[in-house]
Amino acid sequence: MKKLHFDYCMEIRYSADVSWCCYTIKCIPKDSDRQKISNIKIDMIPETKAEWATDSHGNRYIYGSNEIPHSYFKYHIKGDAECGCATHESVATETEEMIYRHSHGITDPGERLREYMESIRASMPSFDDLRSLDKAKQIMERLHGYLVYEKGCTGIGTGAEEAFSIGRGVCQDYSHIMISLLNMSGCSARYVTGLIIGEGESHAWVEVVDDGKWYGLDPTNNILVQDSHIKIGCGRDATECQINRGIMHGGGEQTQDIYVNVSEISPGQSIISRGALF
Amino acid sequence: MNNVNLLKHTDDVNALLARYGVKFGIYKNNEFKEQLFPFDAIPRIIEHDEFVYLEKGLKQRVTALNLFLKDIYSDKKIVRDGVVPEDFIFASSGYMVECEGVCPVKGIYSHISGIDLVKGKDGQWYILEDNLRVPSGASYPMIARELCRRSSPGTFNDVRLEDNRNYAKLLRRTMDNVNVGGHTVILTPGRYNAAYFEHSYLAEQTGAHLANGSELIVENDKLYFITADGKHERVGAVYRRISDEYLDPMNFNPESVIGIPHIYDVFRKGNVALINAPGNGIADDKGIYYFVPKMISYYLGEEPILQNAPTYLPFYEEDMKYVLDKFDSLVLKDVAEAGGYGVVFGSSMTMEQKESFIKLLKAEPRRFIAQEVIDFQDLDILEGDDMVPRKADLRAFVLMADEPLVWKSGLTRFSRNPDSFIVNSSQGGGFKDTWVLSQ
Repeated sequence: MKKLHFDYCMEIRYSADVSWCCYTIKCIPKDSDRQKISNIKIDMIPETKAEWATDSHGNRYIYGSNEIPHSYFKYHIKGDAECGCATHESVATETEEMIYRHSHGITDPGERLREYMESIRASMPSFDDLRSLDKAKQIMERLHGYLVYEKGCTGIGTGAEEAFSIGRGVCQDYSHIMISLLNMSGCSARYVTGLIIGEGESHAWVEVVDDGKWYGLDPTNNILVQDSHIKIGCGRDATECQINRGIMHGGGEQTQDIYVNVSEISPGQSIISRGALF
Repeated sequence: MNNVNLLKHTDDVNALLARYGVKFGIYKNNEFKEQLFPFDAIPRIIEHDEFVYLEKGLKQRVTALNLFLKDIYSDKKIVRDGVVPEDFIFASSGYMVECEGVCPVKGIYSHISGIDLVKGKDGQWYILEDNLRVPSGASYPMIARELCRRSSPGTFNDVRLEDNRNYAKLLRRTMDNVNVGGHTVILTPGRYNAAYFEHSYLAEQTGAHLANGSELIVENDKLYFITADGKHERVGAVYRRISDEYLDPMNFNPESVIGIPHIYDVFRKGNVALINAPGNGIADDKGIYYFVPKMISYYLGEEPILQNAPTYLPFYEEDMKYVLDKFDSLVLKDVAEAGGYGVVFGSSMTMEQKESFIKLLKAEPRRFIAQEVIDFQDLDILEGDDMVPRKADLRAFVLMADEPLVWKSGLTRFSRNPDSFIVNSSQGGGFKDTWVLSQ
């Protein structure tokens, strides 16, 4: 079990004024059996009245619009997370098992992924008899060895089949491909957005249902999700739990910077004093 | 019946329809073309008793379909109980995960349903398909009746006929039933939509505001109509004539410029009614059609009154065998297509086409249904001075207000091509008024 402090900050700078914008931000981690969240603080610039809501995947989000001209937008959330309180993420309902058992759109397998699935089965005749979590570990292990981590080869809308054919990708692609393979194996699986210990960007991984519980697996790093991951949201694929979505009028060119930092709170250090850094 | 007089006025009525803008817009080769929707003055006549039977069956069907939608987006009992296989729900493009756990006002999903039927030569009515998303067409027989009455008033003196001009009242009652407080708006994608005439006509007839996306705005978790003088007035119900996909760029297709950002977030919280509710595509999928009679028994504990055309699901091994056996006598439909597209007759394929189709069928059995070709009754239409028989269907409109209401009329569409079974207006067909006799 680890006590973590997290920071997620997204800044968008525009070359011209945005005269109107609307946004949906799905970036509010919540409690589960595995993680306990506390001391959440959210800052937004410009300050607007935001509405709170929960989507069909159970993700909390805020949404709103803004008519004040602005050329800078910031969303900053920080807080503390106690992670690794349980080995599973949460209990899976029967409804969840159904919804996440079928691939669709981005996670739909094509010929290459179907062949790959067959090759996994062929190399391991007992594969279909494994429990879901073991199937997932097998798939993760192989996929991690197969796919090369490389930025810039794939984009937000890249499907599992396409990314697999390219053979390169980032955490999003590892996750989509793994979901596709898991669905082909008859497992319920979903896409997870979150943060991982260290400095950098937001992360993505996969959850699979085993014996009525969701377990996290991180195919990019070939590890189980235990006490170094903070879950933010989930969906059938990346588009359904996209951290930030917006539409604006005006704005010209835009540059987006995302800053993420997750660090372990050492036992002697008080949470309050860390918060005072901001 | 004094039809002869009415027939003389066919050209007048068509001219008036053209003047009122009763047109159909079609995109073909990236070009928008408007064409008139040809009206044939010989009405389809349905006897009183026959319509009583249809009415009962239609109410039953639409009630079950609404219960199905509510079940699918909440408890999924029908799937758990093994009546409908999971594959037909969660892998279907009509299933919208965004609707999970969201309950529309009063639990009504399909407020306006367009149910397509045909009458076989055996005198039996068959359901061809259910349209539960944004079914169009009610305005055509409405205005045609109005214009016929005007051009040939004598015709209507001695016919005991149900007045069909009450559709607006039924629609208003349906919209008011779910309005959560505020204006009622008909949301149109605009003048270049195939059914723009209908949007404006229904707004005029029901007294609802006709608006496009830019006249509606979300603020404080509620939806507002922007008036001509810039005031924001609360909207309680939206009869949206925009498909789910384009309704809200923040929740669905981000490319949509005709939708309203965040309208779905407002709907999710129960602060506005959407007519019809998003997500209905899962119930009018051609694959789900097969299961509707089972749904009726499952939810209502009743025998289905109206029959489906005999349908086979290649998904089931037994049905696949039958389909391959009887291939030449069946019509095959791609479940993802609509508007008369993706429909092929086994008998009209060349050997090569057949081979490649069967290959596809075997690879993706879930994608197709097969049906017996129903030999349906022809209706006479007027071509010049001659009466000629043509294939025709009937779109019945069922409205779900505080109770199910069946409009005592309907859109009768016919194929102008003598060899075609496909009557869709997007494929160049014409229409007739549908007379329901009142005794």
